[in-house]
Amino acid sequence: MLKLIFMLARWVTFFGAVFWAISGCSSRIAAMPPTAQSLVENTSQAIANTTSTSSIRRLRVEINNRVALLALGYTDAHPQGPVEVWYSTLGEVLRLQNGHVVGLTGSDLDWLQVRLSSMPAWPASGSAATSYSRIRDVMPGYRFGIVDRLSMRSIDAPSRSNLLALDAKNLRWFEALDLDNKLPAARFALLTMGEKETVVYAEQCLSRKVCLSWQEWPGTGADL
Amino acid sequence: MNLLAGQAPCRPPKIYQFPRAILSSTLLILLSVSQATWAANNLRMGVSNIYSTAPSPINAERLSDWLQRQPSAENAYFSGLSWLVPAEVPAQALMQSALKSHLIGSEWTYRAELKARQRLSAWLGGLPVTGRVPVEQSDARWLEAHPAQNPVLAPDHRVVVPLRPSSVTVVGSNGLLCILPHIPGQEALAYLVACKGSSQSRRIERVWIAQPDGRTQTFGVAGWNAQAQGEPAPGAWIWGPSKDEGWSDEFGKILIEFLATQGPSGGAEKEAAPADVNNQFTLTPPPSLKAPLRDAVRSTNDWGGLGLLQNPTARMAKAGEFSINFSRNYPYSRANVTLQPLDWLELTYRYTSISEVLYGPTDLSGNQSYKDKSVDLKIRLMQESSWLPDVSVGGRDIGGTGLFSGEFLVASKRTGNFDWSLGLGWGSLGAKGTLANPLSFISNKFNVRGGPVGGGGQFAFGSFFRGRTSLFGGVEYQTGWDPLVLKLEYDGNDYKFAKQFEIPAPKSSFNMGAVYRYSPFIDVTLGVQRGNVATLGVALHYPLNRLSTPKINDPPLPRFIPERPVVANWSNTTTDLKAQTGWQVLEIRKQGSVLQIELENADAVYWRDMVDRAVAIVHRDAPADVEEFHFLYKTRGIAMANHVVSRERWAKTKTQPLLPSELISQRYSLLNQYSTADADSDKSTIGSVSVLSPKRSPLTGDIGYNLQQSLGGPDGFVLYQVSVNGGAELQLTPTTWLSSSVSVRALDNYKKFLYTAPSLLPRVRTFIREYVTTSRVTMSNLQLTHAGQLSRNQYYSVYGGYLESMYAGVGGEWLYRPLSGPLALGVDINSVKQRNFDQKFGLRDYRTVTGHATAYIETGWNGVIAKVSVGQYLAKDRGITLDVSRRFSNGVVFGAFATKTNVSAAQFGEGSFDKGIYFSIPLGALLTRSTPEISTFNWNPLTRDGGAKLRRGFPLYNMTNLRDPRTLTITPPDGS
Repeated sequence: MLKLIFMLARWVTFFGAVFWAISGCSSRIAAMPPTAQSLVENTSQAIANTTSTSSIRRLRVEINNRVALLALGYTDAHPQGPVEVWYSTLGEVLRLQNGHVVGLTGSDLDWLQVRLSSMPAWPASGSAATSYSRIRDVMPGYRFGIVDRLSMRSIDAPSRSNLLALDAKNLRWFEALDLDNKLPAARFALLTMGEKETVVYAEQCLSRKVCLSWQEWPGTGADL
Repeated sequence: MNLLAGQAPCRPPKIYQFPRAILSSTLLILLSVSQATWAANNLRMGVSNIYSTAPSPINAERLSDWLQRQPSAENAYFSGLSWLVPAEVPAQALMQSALKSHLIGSEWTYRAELKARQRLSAWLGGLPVTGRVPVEQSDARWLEAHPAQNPVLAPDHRVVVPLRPSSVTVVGSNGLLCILPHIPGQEALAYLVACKGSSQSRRIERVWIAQPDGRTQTFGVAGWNAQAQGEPAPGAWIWGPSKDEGWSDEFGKILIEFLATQGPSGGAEKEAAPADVNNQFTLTPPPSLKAPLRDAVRSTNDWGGLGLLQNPTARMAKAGEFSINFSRNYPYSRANVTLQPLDWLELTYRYTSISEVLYGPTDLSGNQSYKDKSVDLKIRLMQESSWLPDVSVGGRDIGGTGLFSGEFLVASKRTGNFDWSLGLGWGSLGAKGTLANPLSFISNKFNVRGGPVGGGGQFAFGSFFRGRTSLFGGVEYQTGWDPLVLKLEYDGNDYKFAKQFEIPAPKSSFNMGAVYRYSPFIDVTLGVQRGNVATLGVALHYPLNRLSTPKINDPPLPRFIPERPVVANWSNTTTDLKAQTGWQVLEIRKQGSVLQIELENADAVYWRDMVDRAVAIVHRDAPADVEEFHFLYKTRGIAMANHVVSRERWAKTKTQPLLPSELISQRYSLLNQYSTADADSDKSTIGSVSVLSPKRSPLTGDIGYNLQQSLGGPDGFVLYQVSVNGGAELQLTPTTWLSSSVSVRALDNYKKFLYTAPSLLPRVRTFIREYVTTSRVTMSNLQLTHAGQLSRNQYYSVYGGYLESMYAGVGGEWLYRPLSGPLALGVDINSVKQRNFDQKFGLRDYRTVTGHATAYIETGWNGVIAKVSVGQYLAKDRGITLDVSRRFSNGVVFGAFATKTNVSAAQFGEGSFDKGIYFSIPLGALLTRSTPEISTFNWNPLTRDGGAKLRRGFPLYNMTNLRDPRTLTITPPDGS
């Protein structure tokens, strides 16, 4: 689905104009209406209407203003904590570990192997930032071994985000700054349910041009 | 020691003796035996840092399962995973032998130093032949979701996952290896500079990389051919000889392909390296190499072709590029369409509007500004190399009125971020006359140039390269900010036109501008020209040969199940086949292990994809004992071709990746042609059982819309109509049908349509205004057609009725077209009478006999097809039509046509002879749902009476498309 979003975005940019230019020469094109529908369809609304009727856990991913719904396939064990393995309809694999993107495979932009020096703790408000590093292999281009120096700190609830159904003020927010400014800062929102604190929303950029936000859907604790 | 300071430490590869590696506790290298006895235990990898390997995979275990079984390890390098398959060893052994043969001395290597060749040969000869096959992804979870990419491991296969290497290895052109630490962010050239030293690296123009995942890449790295590129990953092999070292590009390609089979570098080599070399494991690339290399940026000029602002350059886009360009530069507004049918050929056509000059009399054209149509042509004569530039020759406005006509010879040379052009212009491009015409040494006639051509449309060969001559040129600069390109040029035009087209005198001979690349497909140009005029340009460009769209609106295919049904279930077969492919099943027959699916009027652009969809249905429904599917295609009751699919092989492609050695044999076969009689005889074969014979309605119909427009007429720049079309067809016999088409004009601006062009010929087409405006409801077609087959390769049709919107009559056609043959021949002859303007049942007095003999030639060169027609046209003129087109692998066609008959240019009128440019796009490449429809844009600058053909409804060449030799090769670029 993520690949599809990239492709459709490119498609719309150029072929809106070309479509017009050549439509005059064709007729009886049954394939045209569904294409037009695909272009104007509000997937965001369709996803918003998704109800929790099955046991499948879903993830609402917004990537460069397009929305896709992923399904949880596995939770793999890892020394630094469980890794959630989410699948798109085209079989792209997104890996999340405690809210951090630790892998994306099969898309136009892949993070193949991501290694965190340690799983960063969520610092208490007003306390010092937590430093950690990340090494990642990025495709295409075989940009392997990229080292990011990161700093995690507590922040106030942001005024703007893609968070849905939850009140941002009821969440604890954190920001991971890239100390070398290679990527924009990532943000994480944590929800406390009982004694357990879970990342329910996050924003993270995979490159300077491709950023995604994700939220489990329908939202956890949506009544807050 | 800084490796860049002097000669980098390189070592002879022969020091890497594999026996030593075998002793390593972390190495898995299996015993070496002769290639003749390759077996499971003979697969060897030349790496020592192995994290995990499959000592003996469980039979038929998936790679994903094997990966899941491995203990997690921080330093495992999954990108370097090697899947080793004995069946691939022979082909790779041949590659190794070929390399060694070339190193003895061949046309690819004989200029290279002998000692270097000997060293390299010795090293390559010692490398194992691994049988490595690249894996699409080495992510177990991804593989699980993609069974077709998830290898099934046989007991004799091996899988090796190495530890992450920390180095890359440069295979030196002197035959020595140079191992360097991998540094994120560095491109291949940095490693080469570190190994060879900056002075010896200056003449490196191309590098080859074998990445650790087994894929290979090559990139230009010199100032003139630099390309944007990725990086060598840890464990990559790099080959990058200097230009003067005598190694050919062909050798580089085969060498790197062989090295890609070796798995990641940095294992055995590093272990075996002498201590003094290992101590020098530092790489600090010079600052100049830190900026990544970039592709050359090409952009269009005001005239639509690649160029500066006014000037053309010698540059060419890649074949398949299509652009629409709008520019405003007072008093000129231009709309240009540029096609790049071949790598060396650029075609542009345009409309130019000139402000404050009226098109014509105000009672006809109102205040419409003057419009000029023109065509440009540019041909590359020489391609850029190390020292030589691209050189192109071309003409602007070569076939129009000649108002802007000019010719040029131009050279372009890239040096890093600068692209320099210098040219010699004639006509408008050389009007300044800064030079004497260099061609005047041939004849004084070259000093005199004629003026604009009154009627236009003729190629004014007598004026080409004549008259005043001037230099022109300039430079494009790719700024550090990728989207921005700056341009500066010297303009050879003096802008002194005929009095009615006069413009303010230029204040400068220099033009400057900036191009902002808003997206990879949209450029915006701003600039100042002539010192006193602002310019704005917008260009939309796209490689149409790469066009494809995900088919998200196609009905989902049935879930693939490898197990075959025990009992056939035909209840949904025809419905699902129709839904998936649009194909109508005539009959399904079973003959032993063969299932014959007979289809009627099946159509497709991407046949391979459609066959795949069809097989998914019949595989689901056919009983287990069916081993082959035969798709028999009938068009209008005539057997056209037969596709045969092996069920087992097809199923294998759905469940696991095919090995390179298997790929060749897995193609669908286009079998020998069937005649109708042959196909019918299949039915009577003993043992052939009809299992499904659905009933069909003899009456079919559809409804759609049509938008018709004409551009550049005196009544208005755009005249259009939107109509609703209905079509119906009644099948009387399998080979005889009655067709009809009715159109209702719903929306138009024909109130402005007042002009009927004059003509000195019988008015066979120039009554276009009367035909489109007289009636809102028209019947464009009502005809009875019968088609048949005379022999295996010969077809015929006879027809009669209202054949097209302007003509009714009777006719017949014969076509010789062998299956997959490069040549087809056809003859058609028609006796027709002109229809009334209301396009109902009445006829006018004009009658004629028209017909052509046509040769259709698949040249086999770059997908170019030539069609040559000779015969009598509607106006009783006789002549020849030449149509040349290029069809790209995704079905997009760029073409041009011209007709010359025995009427003079004066008799023909404006345009002088019939000609045009067209491109067509399979809508399956553009839309999100599969469709066999093709959309064609035809630019025919004028509708005239000379060279006009009858528009027949069912030409046999189109009906027999399935016999095209490229039927199964036309596919979307990414297979979507």
